[in-house]
Amino acid sequence: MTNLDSNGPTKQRLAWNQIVTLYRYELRSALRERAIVINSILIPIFLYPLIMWVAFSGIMLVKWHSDSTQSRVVVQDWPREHPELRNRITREKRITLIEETNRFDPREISAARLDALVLFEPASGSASNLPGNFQVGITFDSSKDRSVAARERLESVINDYRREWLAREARKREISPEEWAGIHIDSKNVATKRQMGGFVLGMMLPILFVVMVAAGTFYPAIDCTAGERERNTWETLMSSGASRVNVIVAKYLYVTTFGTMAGILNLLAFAVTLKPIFAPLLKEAGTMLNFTVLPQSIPLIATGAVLLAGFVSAGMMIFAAFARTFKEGQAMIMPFYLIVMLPPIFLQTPGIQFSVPLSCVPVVNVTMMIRSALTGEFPMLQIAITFVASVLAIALCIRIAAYILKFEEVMIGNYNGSLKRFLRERFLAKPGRSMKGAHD
Amino acid sequence: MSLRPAIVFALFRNELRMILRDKRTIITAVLLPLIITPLMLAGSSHTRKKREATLQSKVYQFAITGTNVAEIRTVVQLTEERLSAQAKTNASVFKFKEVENTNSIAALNRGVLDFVLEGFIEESGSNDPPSEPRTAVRIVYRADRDDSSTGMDKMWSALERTDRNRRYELLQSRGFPVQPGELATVEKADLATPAHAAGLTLGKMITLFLLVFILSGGAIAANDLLAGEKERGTLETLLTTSASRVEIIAAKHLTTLSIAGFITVVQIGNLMMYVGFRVIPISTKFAAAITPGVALLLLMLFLPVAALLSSVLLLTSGFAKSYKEAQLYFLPVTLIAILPALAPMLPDVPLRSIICLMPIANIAIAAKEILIGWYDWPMIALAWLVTAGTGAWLTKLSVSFLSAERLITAGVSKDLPPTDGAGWFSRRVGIWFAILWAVVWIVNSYTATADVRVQVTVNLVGLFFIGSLLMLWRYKLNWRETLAFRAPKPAVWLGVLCGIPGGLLTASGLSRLTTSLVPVSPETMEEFSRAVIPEGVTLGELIFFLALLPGFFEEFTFRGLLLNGLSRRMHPVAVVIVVGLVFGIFHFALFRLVGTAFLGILFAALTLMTGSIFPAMIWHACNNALALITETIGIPIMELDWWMYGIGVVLLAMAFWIFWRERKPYPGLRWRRRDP
Amino acid sequence: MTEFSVRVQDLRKIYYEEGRGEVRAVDGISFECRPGEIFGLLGANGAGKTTTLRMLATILKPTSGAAYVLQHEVTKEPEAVRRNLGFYSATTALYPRLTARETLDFFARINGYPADRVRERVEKLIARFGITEYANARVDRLSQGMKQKVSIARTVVHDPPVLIFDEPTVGLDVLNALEMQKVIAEFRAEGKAILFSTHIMSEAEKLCDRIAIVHRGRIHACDTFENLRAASGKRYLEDIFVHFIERANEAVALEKPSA
Repeated sequence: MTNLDSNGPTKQRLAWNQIVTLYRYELRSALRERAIVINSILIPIFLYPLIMWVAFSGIMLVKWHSDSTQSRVVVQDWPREHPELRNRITREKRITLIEETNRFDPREISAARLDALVLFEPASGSASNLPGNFQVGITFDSSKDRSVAARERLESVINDYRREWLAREARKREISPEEWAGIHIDSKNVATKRQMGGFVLGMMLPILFVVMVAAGTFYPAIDCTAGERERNTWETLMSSGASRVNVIVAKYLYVTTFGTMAGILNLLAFAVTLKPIFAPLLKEAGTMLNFTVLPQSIPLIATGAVLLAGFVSAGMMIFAAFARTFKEGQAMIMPFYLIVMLPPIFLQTPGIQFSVPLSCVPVVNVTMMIRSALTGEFPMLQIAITFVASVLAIALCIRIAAYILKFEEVMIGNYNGSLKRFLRERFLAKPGRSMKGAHD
Repeated sequence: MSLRPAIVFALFRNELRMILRDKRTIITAVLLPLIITPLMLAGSSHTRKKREATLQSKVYQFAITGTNVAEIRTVVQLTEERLSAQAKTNASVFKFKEVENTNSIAALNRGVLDFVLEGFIEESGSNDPPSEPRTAVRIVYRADRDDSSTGMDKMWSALERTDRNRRYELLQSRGFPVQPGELATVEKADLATPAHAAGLTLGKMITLFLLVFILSGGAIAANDLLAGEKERGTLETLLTTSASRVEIIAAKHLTTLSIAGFITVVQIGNLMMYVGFRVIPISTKFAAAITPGVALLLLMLFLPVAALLSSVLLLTSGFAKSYKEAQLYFLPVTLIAILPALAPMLPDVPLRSIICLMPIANIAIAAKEILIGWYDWPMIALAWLVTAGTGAWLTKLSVSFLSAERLITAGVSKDLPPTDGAGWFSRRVGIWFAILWAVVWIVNSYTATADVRVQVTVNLVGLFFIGSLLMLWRYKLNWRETLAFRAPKPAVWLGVLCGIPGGLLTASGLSRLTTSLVPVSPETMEEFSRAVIPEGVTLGELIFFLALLPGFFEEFTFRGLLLNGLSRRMHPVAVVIVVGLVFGIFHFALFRLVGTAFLGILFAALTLMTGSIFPAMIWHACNNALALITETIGIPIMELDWWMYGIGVVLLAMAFWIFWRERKPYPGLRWRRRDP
Repeated sequence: MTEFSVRVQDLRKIYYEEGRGEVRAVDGISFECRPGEIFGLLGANGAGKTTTLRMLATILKPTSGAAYVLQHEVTKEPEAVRRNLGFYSATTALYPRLTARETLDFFARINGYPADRVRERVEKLIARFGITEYANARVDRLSQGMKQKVSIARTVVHDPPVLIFDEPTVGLDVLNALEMQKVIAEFRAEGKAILFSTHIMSEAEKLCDRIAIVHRGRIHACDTFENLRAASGKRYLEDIFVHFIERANEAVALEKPSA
């Protein structure tokens, strides 16, 4: 029966100089591994800005495209009393009137050679009480973008015309313009540019931040456990003079470093590139957004990244510890990875406040904290709870990891990388054939 | 080489069996998403619905300030009466409550109030009809809070409706003979069936969804089948059997295709199930859009897409040396493959156009047209053939990867670290330019409003030139050699003279051709030319800033450093194309990409053929100057007759004929692959 | 000439490597191997043995020269060559997720063994190599020794007249290595032509009918052990090997100043 490293009376101690050496070795070898550099550094910096740039360029392209297409329209039986309406439709830049000598064939629209048919008829029923009143039939095809656009353009011209016609009628009936105009309605947004920027960031950021921190820890966590087994360096390390606890602590710190780095780099890249990405949109909305991060929120954001990375890396290392190969490690971690990403998805809906109950949930609390920090709000109670809750969660995960790694079989990778087998053999097997393991 | 069906089948069965036995991968790649995806969708739709319900039932708090408080309050009361009459039949009617508050804006900021109605007198704003100052109300709100902005929206429309009712009543009280709403009524007759209307929405997205499913499913198989086998050493075993390489690839392709198809079917079934359970809110009209016949046709159409994507995946897997590396390529490959699937999002691109020759995009468009009930059979057949043919060609390419020895036998040829700065530079040149691009992009967004002279100076001198000097310094490069600062043969100048108008005309023609495919709104063009040629700058200044400076500095950076770095690692043809594309991408605006990339390609080819950067510099400067001059004196270079562009092409061809005859190639080109 | 199972003529393989330039991995190697003969390639790591054998197995393409397996030229009829060839090396791994029986069945089929006789052949091999007990276990659950047996069975499952063993005993323990040698000797008795590469002297001495000493991509001596002894005047193969290598190095050193 062995309980590794605790055979003697000496209690395990953390030797920080050893840890630092190990940590530096891990860091250096990680920076030379292409997969890690790409996944933990380059993707956080480039991926989302790039995707968003492509997406917005695409949206703009579609917009230009649909703005610049002409609507081909056939109009029949113009109402004689309303030459002004005819003028307006003819003048509308994006509508091309097509002269149709024969009777109109709706198949022209179905075949997309024409976008809409407008048919003016005298009003019927009670509506015909007003001389000159008419009704308009617009034939279009809602399965064609161009046809829908044509209908919208026509409708908007007709609506404008109707409004002015009514005003004209009002004047005829001696209603003063002031009386007719009534109350004017306007709106004003008093949120500051920064608040607006924070709002936009807050919609996208929680999920991206968690994804990036998790992605940043993903490769290093596998690489420094399963990867080492695959490369056969695990045993070399285990047979070295460094105590196992120190090795694990160093690895944990290293994984956390990468998670933190990925998170912060991603945030920075995001904050820097949002303005150029949104530039075409901002031009229309009038520059209303400010994405610069408040200086006083930077420490809080950085701490948030550390807490989140600390939790995620501890969780990942628990799972990765069983794997023998890189591929296995990936498969083991994937469920945890996905579960971590679930809560922020719920947070994407606006209006969710950083409440006290939310600040008790790991992952969620940190993302909420970062979100409020970005908008310049610092609810102290919630922040304090977030700290405590996160540290507790991390401590718990580390305890579990330490417990699992006490078992020789896990250290050597004897469970075929199977968590199920570990649990079964460790806790459920009959004492007779159970493997040797830890005792207190 | 012929395929022996028995052998391909044996290989296929074996591959399939092994993949199905890889339980862990199957679980993480198939089962996990099956559970997680609906969970995510359901979760987000649940929270969204809940929030909507909250906003719906909320009683919005507001205060009234400013002038004319009494008048505004009357309107609000009228509105309240009207709405409370509706509230008996409709529970989700807008409810609001006025709250007394002395400092209402502060209360709004604290979140106590949802919005504030602020009365003011509007000075005559619009001219038609000429109006006196009139009562106005401003809804003050916080756009960064959804309750506040929802409240503002609702209040706005409620007030507006009240005012309209008042107006109508007023009109009728003066003897208006009809209901004002009956004036010029519009009746809409929709020729499309509801199924076809739904088909439009579905048609825009279906390819994207299928693509993601096919790629993520196929990657599981493809990564394991080549990269994984390489890593495990079983590929070598397989290659020593009498199965030919074509057979091996055929079997692997078939396996990838089957797995991708299977996973896609499972995922779609899964999605449909959750749609059925109403976890995912989608209109049921989609079901009507897909009749069994249409479904069968779509299946037939997407088969070559799946085959093509499988080939792409196998190709990347074959290129990678390990499983891990193959996975690393997955993301970029997916992003690139998704681009053509976005084609149906562009409105009104018919299949009967050049798009029919673009694999994947053509099928995406065909699927959309079929879903809106439009069957252009010859073009559908052509699209099918194009995509299937591309797939077959890529599959053949992956056969060649099995013959590329450096890839099969890891360790035969190790990538040794470069021995000199130039070697290191050629490895890092991509990263340098990626960073340079990002920096230029970001800086430009901040200098966008500045004077064009400032912009040009910042870009060319501050970024391109300093960046280039940094690269030269960092890798201790020999500047004369790196930048190809050497004299060309004298006859080359004759070619350049010929090429200047030729290049400008051809590039303009090309730009026009693309603009006719993907139209650019005239406003954008105008805005662009206004930004480039601002008022109050003399032609001389323009030529200095927009022709001479770019001619020197852009060539310095692109045909100097970039070209030099790439030429040590790539085939010259690839160098020319990549340099051109990068040059185009550095011009940001998408509609300029084709023209600038084309010129970039010309300059790169010129530099490689003459071994000197000077002709490219002169040509570049003259090209820009010529473009500026034609613009200023009003020659519409983008609206010439087509034969003029034809002359341009001929001139250009002549120029390159001269360069070819007088060639003095760039030193150190890699015409042949280094491995045998 | 028909009596030779394998004939190699002036085979060359030249790589280009960034930083190192031209690498002549195999630089004009010629030899033959008859049925019922074990021909050994003896050389240090990186001498060019594996590259030669890989070219014979058509995994690599020769830069120049020719190689025939039963009159089939490796570049012209690669499939025919591979059908008549069994290739075993430390790097030709087995599929971990197949069972031993499935492995044999699969390789018999894709090597074009008559489909109706595959089952019979597989059972025969399972019995012969004593795999019966674990024939239905997945390969990744087998021990090193078991895997080795399956791997050998895999090599000969299509009953090829020519066998190539590229450093087959690398990484094996003594017992497994002896087992391997025994099996190879058995194959010789069955009349197969066997190419065998190793850097272990005792193995070559014990097994090979003829030995070629390979160094820097060339064969510097090729004969029976007895004749090599006589030619070099040394007793042990180790010394004989060193003798020829030194002579080769001297020749190179002499060439250099003149060049």
